[in-house]
Amino acid sequence: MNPATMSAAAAAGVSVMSVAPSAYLVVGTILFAIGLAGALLKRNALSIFLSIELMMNAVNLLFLTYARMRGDAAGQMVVFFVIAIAAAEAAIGLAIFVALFRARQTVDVDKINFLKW
Amino acid sequence: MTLNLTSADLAAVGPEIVLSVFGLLLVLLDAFARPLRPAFPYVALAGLFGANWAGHYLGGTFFSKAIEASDLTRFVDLAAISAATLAVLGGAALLERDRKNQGEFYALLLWSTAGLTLMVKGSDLLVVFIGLEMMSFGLYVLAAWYRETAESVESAMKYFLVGAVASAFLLFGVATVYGRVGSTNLIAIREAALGHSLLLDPLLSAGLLAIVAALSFKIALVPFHSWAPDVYQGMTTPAVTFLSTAPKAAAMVVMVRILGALAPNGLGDPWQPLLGILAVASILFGNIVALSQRDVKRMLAYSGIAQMGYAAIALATFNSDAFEGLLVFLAGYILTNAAAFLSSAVLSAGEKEAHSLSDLAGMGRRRPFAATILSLSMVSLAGFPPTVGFIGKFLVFRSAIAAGLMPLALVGILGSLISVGFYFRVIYYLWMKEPGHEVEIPEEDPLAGAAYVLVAAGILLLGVMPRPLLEIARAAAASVSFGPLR
Repeated sequence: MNPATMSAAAAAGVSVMSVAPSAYLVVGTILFAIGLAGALLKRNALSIFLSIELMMNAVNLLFLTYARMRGDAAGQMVVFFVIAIAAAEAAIGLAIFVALFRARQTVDVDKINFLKW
Repeated sequence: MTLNLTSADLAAVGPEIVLSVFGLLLVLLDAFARPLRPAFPYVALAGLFGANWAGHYLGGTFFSKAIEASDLTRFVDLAAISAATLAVLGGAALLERDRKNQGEFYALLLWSTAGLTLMVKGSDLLVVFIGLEMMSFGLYVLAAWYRETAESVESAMKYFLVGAVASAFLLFGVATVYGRVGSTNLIAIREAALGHSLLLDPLLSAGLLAIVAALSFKIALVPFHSWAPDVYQGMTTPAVTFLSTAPKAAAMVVMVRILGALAPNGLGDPWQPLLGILAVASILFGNIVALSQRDVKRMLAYSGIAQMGYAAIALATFNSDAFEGLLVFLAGYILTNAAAFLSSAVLSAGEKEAHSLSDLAGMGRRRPFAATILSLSMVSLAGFPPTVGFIGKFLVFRSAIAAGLMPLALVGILGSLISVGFYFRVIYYLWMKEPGHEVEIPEEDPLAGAAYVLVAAGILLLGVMPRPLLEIARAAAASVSFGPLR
């Protein structure tokens, strides 16, 4: 947070806590780990997919934090591409899940075992 | 910053532009000119030839150093276009039989090829990521092509979920590299790495580990292989012909490029043994499990895991001799594996692709042409002369021995010995086993015949006279510099 907004906030009587950028890196890494755990442990294909989305967005947070720490716009630009790609991925994934539900009436990965894992 | 887009920039991505336009054309034709459906394979072939024509050699970097064109990218363009061409040639009749001959199939194949070549051309990790996703999205949909069939959709779901996790890993690795180096550009990363030993940094090593894991998913190296057998079994054969060849080869090349940028002074200690372990695990696991498979497609999946293990030996060796061998090996692998899938698909019959070994029994007499191609590809996969499979393996093992990695080469040779057991079993079933039950035999098809002649000529001619292939592989390998070893 830059000094101008900080002093403005102080003048308005709001207490301001400055968060070190490295804290965002920790949050991003933890979110990534939570997403990975979800992708490995969840049994519903949709939940697994949501966990993967969480992993992607955790990485976005990492990119933004690094970009902020380095004062470099390139990292912010990457995030736009990742958002667009994640949206395209969601379109394909959900279409596959719909087709799967039509064929098998379930999207539970434990029940989908026509092929051996 | 101004955006300077020159005609040279556009020429550098000429193949991608041609492939994308022809893909769009095919989708439009399917929507507005359905009666033309029998001509779709030819439109796709025209697109692939056009892409090959558009991909004339251009050295240098383009799009503000985001794209690099070199002999290497040209080599991979050619390999990917060949793989897609073989998939179209061999697949058209099968799709027609199953009433699945839609424009979108070819469009997805062309777009996937475009993504693949873009991934290899990317000299910025963001472009590599975008290319990888473009390639994968096409393949996810192709995996679900028989969307009424539970197996097909199931394999698509597995491939999609595993692939999406791999993408997230790749992205995590890219973010970490960006955080440490301050750039996603491979050229800038290389410059930074020349000054310091970047790989000693623990965080950066974690990032590189994530990237290596993500690409190993795409290559299907042990322990990231679990999706491959299911996907191969559930996916329609023309699509597997492409999926099992070009994307693996491209991911291998991208891995070499990224490692080359991050470790310009040679791989060094934690990484060389790590890649060696990946290679050894893939070779032993792939070959031993393939021995027990009764389904030809699953067997080929495990064989593919083992084949990529041999390729990973070259990755661990990591010098320009090994890279040259790797490129020759990959070119041979693309030809041979495409031949194996195409010919085994034709030998399968009926609406459902039955691919058990017993279906192949006696096919040598009923379909001598396709059976000969399948036998030839088995000989080449096993690595016997005079096939191209022998040349590639020989170069990879020789460079490993020259670099002092004798144990890796020995494991490779041991794996090849094991593999004779299941490759030659296919030949035994084809020619010497009496058919147990009656199988319906599909009609001969001229396009697939052309594909057979092409692959057979490729496997044998490049096996007997490897010089042209060796020369372009050497030129291509020179595009990546391996630090002090050169």
